[in-house]
Amino acid sequence: MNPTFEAVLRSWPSEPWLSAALLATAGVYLRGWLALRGRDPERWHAGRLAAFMAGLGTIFLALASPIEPFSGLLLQVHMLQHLLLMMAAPPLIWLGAPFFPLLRGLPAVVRRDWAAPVLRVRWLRRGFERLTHPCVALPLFAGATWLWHAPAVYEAALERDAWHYLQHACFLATALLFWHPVVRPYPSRPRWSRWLLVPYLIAADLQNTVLAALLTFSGHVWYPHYAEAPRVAGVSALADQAAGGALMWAPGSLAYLGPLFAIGLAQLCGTGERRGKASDAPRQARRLQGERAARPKRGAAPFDVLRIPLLGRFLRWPRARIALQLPMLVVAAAMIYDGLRGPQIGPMNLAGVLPWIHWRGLLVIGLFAAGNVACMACPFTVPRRLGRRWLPAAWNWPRRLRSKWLAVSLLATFFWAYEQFALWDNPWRTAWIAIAYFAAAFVVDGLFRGASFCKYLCPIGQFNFVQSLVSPLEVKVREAEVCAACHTKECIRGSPSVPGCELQLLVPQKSSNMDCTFCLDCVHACPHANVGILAVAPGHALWSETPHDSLGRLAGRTDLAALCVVLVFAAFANAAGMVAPVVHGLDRLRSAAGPHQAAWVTPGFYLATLVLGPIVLVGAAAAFSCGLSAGPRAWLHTARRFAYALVPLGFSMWLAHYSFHFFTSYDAALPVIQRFAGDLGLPFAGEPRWVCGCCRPAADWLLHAEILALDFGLLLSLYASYRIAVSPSQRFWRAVRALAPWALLIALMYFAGIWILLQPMQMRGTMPGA
Amino acid sequence: MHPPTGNKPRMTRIARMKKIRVIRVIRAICGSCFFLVALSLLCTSARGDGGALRLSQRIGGRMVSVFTSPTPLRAGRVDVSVYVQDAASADPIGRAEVFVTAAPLDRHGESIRRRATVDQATNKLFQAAEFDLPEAGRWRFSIEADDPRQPGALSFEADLAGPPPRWRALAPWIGWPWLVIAAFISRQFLLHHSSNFRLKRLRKL
Repeated sequence: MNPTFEAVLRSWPSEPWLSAALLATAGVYLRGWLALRGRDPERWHAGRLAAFMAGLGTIFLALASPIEPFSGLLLQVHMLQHLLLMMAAPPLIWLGAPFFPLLRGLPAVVRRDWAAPVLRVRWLRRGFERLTHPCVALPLFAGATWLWHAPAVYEAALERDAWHYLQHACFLATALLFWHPVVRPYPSRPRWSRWLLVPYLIAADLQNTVLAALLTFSGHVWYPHYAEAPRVAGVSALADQAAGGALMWAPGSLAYLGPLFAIGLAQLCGTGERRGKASDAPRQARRLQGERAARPKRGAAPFDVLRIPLLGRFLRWPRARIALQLPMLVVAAAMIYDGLRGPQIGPMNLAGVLPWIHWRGLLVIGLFAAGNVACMACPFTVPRRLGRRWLPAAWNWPRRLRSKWLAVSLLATFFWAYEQFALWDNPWRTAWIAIAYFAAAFVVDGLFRGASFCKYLCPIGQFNFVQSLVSPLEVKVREAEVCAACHTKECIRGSPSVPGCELQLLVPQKSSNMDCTFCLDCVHACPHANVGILAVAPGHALWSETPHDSLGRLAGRTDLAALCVVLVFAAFANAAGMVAPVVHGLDRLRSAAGPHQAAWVTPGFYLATLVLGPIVLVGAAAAFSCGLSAGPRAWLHTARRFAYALVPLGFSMWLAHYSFHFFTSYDAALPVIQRFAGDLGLPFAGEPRWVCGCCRPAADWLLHAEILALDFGLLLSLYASYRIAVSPSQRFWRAVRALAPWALLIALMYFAGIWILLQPMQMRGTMPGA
Repeated sequence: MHPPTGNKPRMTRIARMKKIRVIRVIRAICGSCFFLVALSLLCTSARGDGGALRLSQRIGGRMVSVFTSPTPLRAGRVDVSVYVQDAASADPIGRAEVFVTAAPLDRHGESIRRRATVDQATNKLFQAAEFDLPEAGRWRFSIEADDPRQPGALSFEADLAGPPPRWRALAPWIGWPWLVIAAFISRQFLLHHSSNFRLKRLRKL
């Protein structure tokens, strides 16, 4: 085979974004086309689908095939690329009548809440109608063609990628406008005679012919780029230009004159207009509406984890939780043993690696991907079964302590202690913290009824409860009617074999993951098998006005709001405490403060970031929000209500931070396990490979993923605050003013998060090097 | 007579015209900003190979053309593509052993040598080598197209601008949520205005 031809066949550029966009468009069209074809197969025939797909395929061919890399070497190839974008792809796309299929193919929420209202906007529709008028579309099309073929502009497009992309976008956009009146895709209405298209297409052909002739018969090379470029297959620059002109001339003319001939013939034969073709659109819409109304409404059952074949069966098994807890208990026991007896170097000890790299990383990934699976497999609650056997377990938790304030203070203390005592590098203290956890769960749940430790004390539990507000899964009832008819309420009272919910959550009234440990006791106790782990919209509970079971209305709970705020700010403070500028700043403060005052720097940092900062920022946002909106609510109520909107951003920061450590050091556990096994006299694991325990530079994709997490956190936080602001009683502009300070605060926190992610971060729990 | 439209005094025609003009200006500014942002995002990307032609020279019986990207050259990732042809037939010589060396001229530093291969090139006529050049300044690129029969070397010098700020590489990742937010705000305003417009018309009726 000719080597040039072989190279052409192998030169496929990688265009993942273009391919993804085209695939997504094709998928949406196909979905909509299938739905429409089910109702009206005559109108939505296979030809439309084929035409639209061919249009997308033509765009792919022009931009992501060997044509693209060779367009810089040969003008004729570049001309072919432009012809595909201007004369092949647009009419094919319009022949597919893409308006309805693309609209119908969108998810219902997007179609109903986003696309439909925008498409109803009068000036947008009118603007499109004006742009597709022959008197506007033709000058635009011809103008773009001539402008981009001017030597200086063409050269700029060849030199700079941005101009090249703009050139292609311009060609495609103006060509779509140009071909719209020619194809007149359904449901556009005839606004002028088809005879008008005869001069329209002739004029388009004329300008194309003139430009093509100028190129073909020119005695010099128009574009210096091609004059300097190496010759491919022995074609000279001038011959290449002539070939490019001829390509523009002959197939170009065919593209204009073919439709002209067809339209003229149809007009002469009287088959050009199917009268009533467009006017029957409203009738069709009415018919479809009638069909829709007559059809029985079918609520789509949400995704239920318990219905997944193997996993669902396992989770429905009453001993599923203990089966998950026992391995965790073994790991915790090994970690405690190694923390107390093993080497007191964090990266060499199970207590230095497993809790601070792996467990934290897996916990946030679990919360992001599923729900509160960490509480489900929590090992600390296993010994409480013994506690309940040996201790009375008969007292009620003191009424004064039935709030989250104790947990808030424990959490703040924990974040401070982590930094103050360098817990990640202190296996002995980490082991003692785990022992304290076991002892506290044993004593509290042995003395008091219910799961008081989980509900009121456990800092990890509170972390999981708050972050799981944005998780995609929730323990919920499948059908509300079944619960309405149920009088025994085993889900909370329990059955003889299975206890009910120990956190006193009545599942039919449960509207979020707050206080839910995913113990699945309700699933096992329900005699109607009406409780599932269902997919929900992440974060829906943040703006919900319905009272949460056993928690009441979120806006009425200052302790819950304080818990959320502390966790959100702790996400940023905890990550900031590990980045170089902050670490150096704190070190400078310590040296400036002197030996006696230096010990106060870390507590001062956490006091500022977890207590004073949140009070000032949230308080100011609430005060401005109240002042600007002149609302009747007190600022404390506003602060409480909007505090929940910050949770997604805080969670995204936790996710970005902990997953960073997990993915950069996931194999740091391997040598530690080898060392631990060796110490126990079990050398089956081999010699420790300490090189795995060294920190390594983070991959590019990880930073992108971290930013992406923060992006989604920003969007969900803004959306939650918008939903909170636009409560039914508020007017639009008042809601906007109420929202503005919170949006500003969220944006500031987002940029603070981005700044933190871009700083060099300490690789705690790993060895230096690599 | 028009019925009263709430507590707000009715807008005069001039005031309404002014408001419309302000809205149009805001729309134009927003549109321009959107366009500029989109353009700046596109500018950050560079083609894998090809790019600007640096030199095209005949060495013995071969024609060697060298392309570099991005344009203009910047510190960071730089792609050098070499096209080796038979000077007589203009057929590509894809199996030539091509090495590219980048050496800083302004200061003492280690030169970087890479083998250019067809696999690294998108256009399979070329042989491409990718460099991660650490600093801005003047660099010399030497190309060795080693042919046992006709060894030859050619070089060119190029000024590398400073590396683009890190945020530019990350701009698409940081920027896209703001486009979503802009789309959401536009939608809300459109809905608000259209519902207001409908309400006003209903009141007039």
